[in-house]
Amino acid sequence: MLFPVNKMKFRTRRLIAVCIIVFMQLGTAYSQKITLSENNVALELIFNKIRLQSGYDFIYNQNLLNQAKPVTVHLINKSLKEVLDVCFLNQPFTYIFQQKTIVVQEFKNTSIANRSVAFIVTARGRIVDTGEKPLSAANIKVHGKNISAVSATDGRFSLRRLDVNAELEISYIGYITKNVKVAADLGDIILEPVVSKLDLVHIIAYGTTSKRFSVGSIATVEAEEIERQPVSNVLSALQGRVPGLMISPSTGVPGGDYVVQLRGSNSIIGSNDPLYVIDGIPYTSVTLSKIGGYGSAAGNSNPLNDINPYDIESVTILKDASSTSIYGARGANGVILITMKKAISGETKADFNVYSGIGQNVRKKKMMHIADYLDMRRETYRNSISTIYNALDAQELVLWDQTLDRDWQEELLGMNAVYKDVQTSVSGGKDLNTFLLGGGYHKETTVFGKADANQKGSVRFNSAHQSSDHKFRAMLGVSYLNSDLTLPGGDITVFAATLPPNQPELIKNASFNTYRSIRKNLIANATLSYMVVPGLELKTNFGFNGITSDEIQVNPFSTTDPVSGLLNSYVLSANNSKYVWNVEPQLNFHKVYGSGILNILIGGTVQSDSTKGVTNYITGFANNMQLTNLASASAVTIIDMNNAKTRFSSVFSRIGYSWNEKYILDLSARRDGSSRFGPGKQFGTFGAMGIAWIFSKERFVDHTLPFIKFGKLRASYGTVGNVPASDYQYLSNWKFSGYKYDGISGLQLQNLFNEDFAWEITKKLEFGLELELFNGSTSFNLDYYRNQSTNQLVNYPLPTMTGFPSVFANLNAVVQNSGLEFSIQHTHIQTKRFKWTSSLNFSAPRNKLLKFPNLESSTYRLDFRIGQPIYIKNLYDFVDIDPQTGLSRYATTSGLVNEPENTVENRTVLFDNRPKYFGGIGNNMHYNGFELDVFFLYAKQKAIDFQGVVGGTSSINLPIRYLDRWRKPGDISSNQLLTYDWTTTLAGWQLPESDRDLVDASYIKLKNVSFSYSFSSNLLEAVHLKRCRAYFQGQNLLTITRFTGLDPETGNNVLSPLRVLTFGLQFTL
Amino acid sequence: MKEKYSIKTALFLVILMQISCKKLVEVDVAGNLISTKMVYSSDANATAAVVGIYINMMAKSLGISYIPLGVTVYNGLCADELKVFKPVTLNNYPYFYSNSIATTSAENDNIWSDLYGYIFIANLTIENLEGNTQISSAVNDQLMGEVKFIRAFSYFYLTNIYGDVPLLTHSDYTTNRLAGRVSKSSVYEQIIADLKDAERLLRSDYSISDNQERVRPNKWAATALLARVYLYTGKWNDAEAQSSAIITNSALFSLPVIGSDLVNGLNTVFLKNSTETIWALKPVLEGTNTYDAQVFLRPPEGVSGKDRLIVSSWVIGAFEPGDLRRQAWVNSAITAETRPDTNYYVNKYKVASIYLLAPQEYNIVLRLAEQYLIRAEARAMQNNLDGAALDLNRIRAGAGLGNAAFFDQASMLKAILKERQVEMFCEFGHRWFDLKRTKNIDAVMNEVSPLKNAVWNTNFQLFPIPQNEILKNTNLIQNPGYK
Repeated sequence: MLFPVNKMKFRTRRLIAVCIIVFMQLGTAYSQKITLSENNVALELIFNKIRLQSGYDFIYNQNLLNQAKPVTVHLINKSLKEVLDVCFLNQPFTYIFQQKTIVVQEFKNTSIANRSVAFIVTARGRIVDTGEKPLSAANIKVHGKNISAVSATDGRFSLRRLDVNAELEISYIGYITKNVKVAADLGDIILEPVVSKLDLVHIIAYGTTSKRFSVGSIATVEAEEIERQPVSNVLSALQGRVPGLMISPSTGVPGGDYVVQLRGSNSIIGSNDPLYVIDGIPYTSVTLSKIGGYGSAAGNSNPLNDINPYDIESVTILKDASSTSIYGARGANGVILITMKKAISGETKADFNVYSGIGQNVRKKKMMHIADYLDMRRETYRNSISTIYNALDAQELVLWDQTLDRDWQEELLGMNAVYKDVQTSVSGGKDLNTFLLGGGYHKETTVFGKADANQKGSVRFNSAHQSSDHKFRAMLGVSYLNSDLTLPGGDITVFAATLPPNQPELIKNASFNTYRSIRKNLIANATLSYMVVPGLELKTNFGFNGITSDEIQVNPFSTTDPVSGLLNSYVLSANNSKYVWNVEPQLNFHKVYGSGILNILIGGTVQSDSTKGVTNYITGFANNMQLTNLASASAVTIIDMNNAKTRFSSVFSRIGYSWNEKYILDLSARRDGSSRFGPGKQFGTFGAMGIAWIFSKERFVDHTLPFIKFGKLRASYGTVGNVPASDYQYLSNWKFSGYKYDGISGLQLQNLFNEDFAWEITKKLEFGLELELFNGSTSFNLDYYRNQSTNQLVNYPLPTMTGFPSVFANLNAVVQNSGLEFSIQHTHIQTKRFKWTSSLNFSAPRNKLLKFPNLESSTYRLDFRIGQPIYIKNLYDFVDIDPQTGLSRYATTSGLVNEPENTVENRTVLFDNRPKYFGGIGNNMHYNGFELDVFFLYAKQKAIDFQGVVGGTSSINLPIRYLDRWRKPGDISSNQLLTYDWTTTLAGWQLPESDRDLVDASYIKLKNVSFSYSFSSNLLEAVHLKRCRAYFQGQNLLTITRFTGLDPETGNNVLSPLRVLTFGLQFTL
Repeated sequence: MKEKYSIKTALFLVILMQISCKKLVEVDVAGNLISTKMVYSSDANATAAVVGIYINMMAKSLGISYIPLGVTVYNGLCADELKVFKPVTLNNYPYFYSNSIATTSAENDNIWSDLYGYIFIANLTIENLEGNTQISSAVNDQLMGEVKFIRAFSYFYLTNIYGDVPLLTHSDYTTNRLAGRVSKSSVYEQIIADLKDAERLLRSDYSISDNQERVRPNKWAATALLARVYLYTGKWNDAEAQSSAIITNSALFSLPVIGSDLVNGLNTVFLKNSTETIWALKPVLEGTNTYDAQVFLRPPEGVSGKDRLIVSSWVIGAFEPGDLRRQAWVNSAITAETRPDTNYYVNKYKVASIYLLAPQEYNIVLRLAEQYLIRAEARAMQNNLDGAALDLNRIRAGAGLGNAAFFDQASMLKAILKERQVEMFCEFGHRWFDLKRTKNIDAVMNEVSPLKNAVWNTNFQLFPIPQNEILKNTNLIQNPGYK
């Protein structure tokens, strides 16, 4: 269908008329007899009617025709000439016949050869990509004129009344803009995909954009970057890659959790997790683990562990109001969009990727050797009780070998973890139908022992279809992952770093319980779309996500120290599931008005979540061989049960307008309703405005600063919300406690009743500068943001005599997150054979509590301070060890004391436990088939390296720095005297809350090295391979830090992230 | 065409608005949650809510809940009963031991909030049961009686620990949050009224429990507590009458028989549903017995080994030679040779944990021996010294001791106080309260404190009002002697 567009002032009514004419044209046979009945209409319209009835085309100069007078004509069955004569009467020009064409010309010139007359043609053509796939809704613009069109679903377009000398500019997101000379039949115009990063397609909320034209603050990590890293959780691969995105692993044990924060913490007690959306389906950020937190060496599992990183095509991080406001109530903490790999048309091909390798624990604490350790224990006795040691308190001095000197860290954490990973996929299909089928398997064992492992198997299917007229499209994607995690019931690192060197065996202290978790994750999504007319698309996404988690922790009593009190074997089991479905109908409208491009999106969401779970405490087993056979247990107590439903429904809209590819305006709004609120408070409206100015398009910039290839300034402001983390808070709820008293299950009241709470609101402000310099070899991005979160949902403090210490309510507290982020990328060398690119990104987030009414009288007074980050810790000011008494001294309001009173005034040292700044540095080199990629992670931060109050009083080994301790009056030392006398050691009790062990934990980490070689195609043809690449990958290779604890990223008492070395092969058949 | 779009768009929007209407954001209450209205609309649920209070008392982790273990430990440490052997950062025992409880002490916060927590549920239940026709009248009476008993019981401990306390008798937090302290005598008035109601409403047997277990308070529990309250408030006549009512009910309650194996008799006192039990709390965690056993017993018999709470030498010294309670209720650990004063531990409850068996011991809150001692004291106060001697000597006989020597009222009262010390040691904090109400506290603590490396101040009789509470409720005034 033809879709001509003229100037903006082109009247809608006329547009409709033209369309109708065009339709009529298809059905009407030409005849020489013409009937016309028009009152005061434009001549142009008359031309069209005549053309329809006669088949004669008109050629005219637009300028000439602009002088035309309206025509009134009433003629029935007249000849063409008669009709034309009537129509040209009183016109300031005349006409001549030229074969089947009527040429309009000025009076004085009768020659068609006159140069001042331009020929008018109708240009027709089809726009396709390099694979001959038609591109619909491509923009076709007449150079220097405000005339444009968009292509239809089959890629076809036509533009009428064009000057024969005109030039067309054809553009499409993700493709290089092409200029062609006007011709009547332009045939297929082939657009090449872009190479410039500026024009790559970026997935955004409910659509796509390019870096060039985006108004929001958006970052993307592509599959290529993820695949360079041998990780089992995509979050690990994102570390340090995106400015503003802080990802901290909580442990080096496989299957562990990550803290993910985009531009700091907005909410005081609510969730600060970003919203994850996988192919349009919101994906939970809340772990389904119920007993992992205390029952597994890895802690709680992170939900993204259940997504196969290899299946991910790209990860887009949306940060500012302009890009997140369309997610309304869930966008406050930013949005992470994960796009899975899709079916691609082309020859059927099979991809294989296989790697294997090892992981090692390389971070160790320097602990005391046996002589020093025993010396420390004896000194404690000597100082306080007697030199007669009793076996109960000091087995290491009485019962155990006095010379045995075991390195427990080596013995317990010294194994090599083994990594194996296989990924395969087959994809193909042409034109109308495409498909992708994939499968993967990943296994990593632990440094604790071979029996412990994280195993994941996954399958994936994706298929797309479109009707032959390309108007209707359907896509279905299904992925399923099964993970099986077997681990010790606790992190053995704790024992490894504390056991006495002469302890004969581990079993005395360590509880060797085991943990196993089996999770299944099914994600299915379907998209149906229909192009009603070019530029207007109706689309609906259907999504489903189901996750189940079955955990069991087995605690045989035989494995524990009798002193610990456990005489029963018991088992904890938890079975949890979460099901989410959503439906999102959307209407997309795209239209070009001369130099302006208008995009309108209107959509709605209905989402339903249901969570169910039960945690059992099981005991009374027939014997220890039967601990996984729950049927053999005599007592099952339900200690936690959970059965919640959440509903969410919204309407949203986004309007984008860009003018002249220079000025861009973006408006978005969303109205959200959530069942997590009480009646009357369920709905909230959020909105944002973003503007961008591509100043490099301005002539004065182009002329004066030619080295700026691309430059854009953007700004956005808007509101986003945060949903409370738990359900049913507005009801006064009772829950069965799981315990029975005299045979009756007891009910427990969960909270006080307050139905009157509403959304937390974050106001986001952002300014950004994007530059591409020197022919694109250097790009630079700078963002400043300031987010203010208000209406904080807190547990509003109440005296506990009211029954509860708090009631859930909104507090007029304000938390501000602001910061600077920048990234630079520079290509040093680019030749045919060698390319070297470096990149650097930097984030400096600042968090500040601006306002908190009645902070002094609330339970939060020790936790927060106005003007300080919400994650500060208030510490005592440790001064020294008193050389006379050997006791710790702190500076307080009452001077130098040994036992500071626990008041805000005495806790004078503020410790902000988040990085001051962080980021990543990357280098990528290509030489022929070789590629070397090196990535560093860095952070400037502090941490508390606390090891023990005072040593000696229990059978716990300490790092060697505890050798420096007070022994006799006059000693200047950093650790206080050793004694059993608690009245004396009271002075040490506040040490963990003091700044004594506050140390610099900044680091630079060689996070990833990837070295690969791609075999040349000549070689591969011989063995019938399309592609073959061999690679080496290393993760966490080197850490440069002054931190004396284990790893600066994970802290002191958990397993450090492992050093992983793998070798792999990737090939395509 | 644009108009057509506009119409379509408008239509589409209207449809969207329709589907995003309220229906889509309404959900059923989760299957595992019950609203307050539902709780008090059936016998079973209302009973479950009341039973939840006992579970709250028993299902908290070690040492945290004031009832039942906390009262024994914290009062015991404050008085001359318990001693800490090792510095244990957990639970801040040393602060209590040295009578230097910080106003910010988390343990003190817990004492306060635990007790007011029980009161809150009691108040909520009373409000919801009054005039409630959905609950059968038998159940209504029973539950009303139980929660009134619990309210009285909680206020008894509150007022004896803190002195004047806010008297909350309804559940509305918007007014309760600003309540100020009322005099101890007003609190006692409410306690007595509640206990009288409870006596009237509750059954006079243990039939509320399917197995006749003595684990839910009945009329006699109310009577026993009332006897104690009268004793504490100097209503000697009433105290005697109440305790007599229990002592004479030999069908339900009896002391171990004299003439049989006395040690064996003493060993049965703390067994579950012993005939001495008036009211006990039943352990709810599977496979566990009492918290007392878990905390006090030492290896190899027990499982503590960590907290090392030991019986003080003052308690040990208070036992007369030949007192069989010393043999039956105190044990010593194998480390005796190195630290002479650390070797005694509480051995009233003897089972720390039992594998595969139902618990053998329950936490006895109210027992018959106390009633004998209450009556003895009430009689002595009324100058019925022979009557007092009769009760006192009954208790002594059970411990294998001869009759007490006394000359006058004062020496009789002294004998009773000492008898209470050795009978009720390390049991529900009796000693601490006895010293306070008999005004012996300053004399005893002045003697004991220096040996505890502490300085006694008579203000320390009362625990501080938790600072957290004062900060959130400026109508609360701190006890003297605390900042």
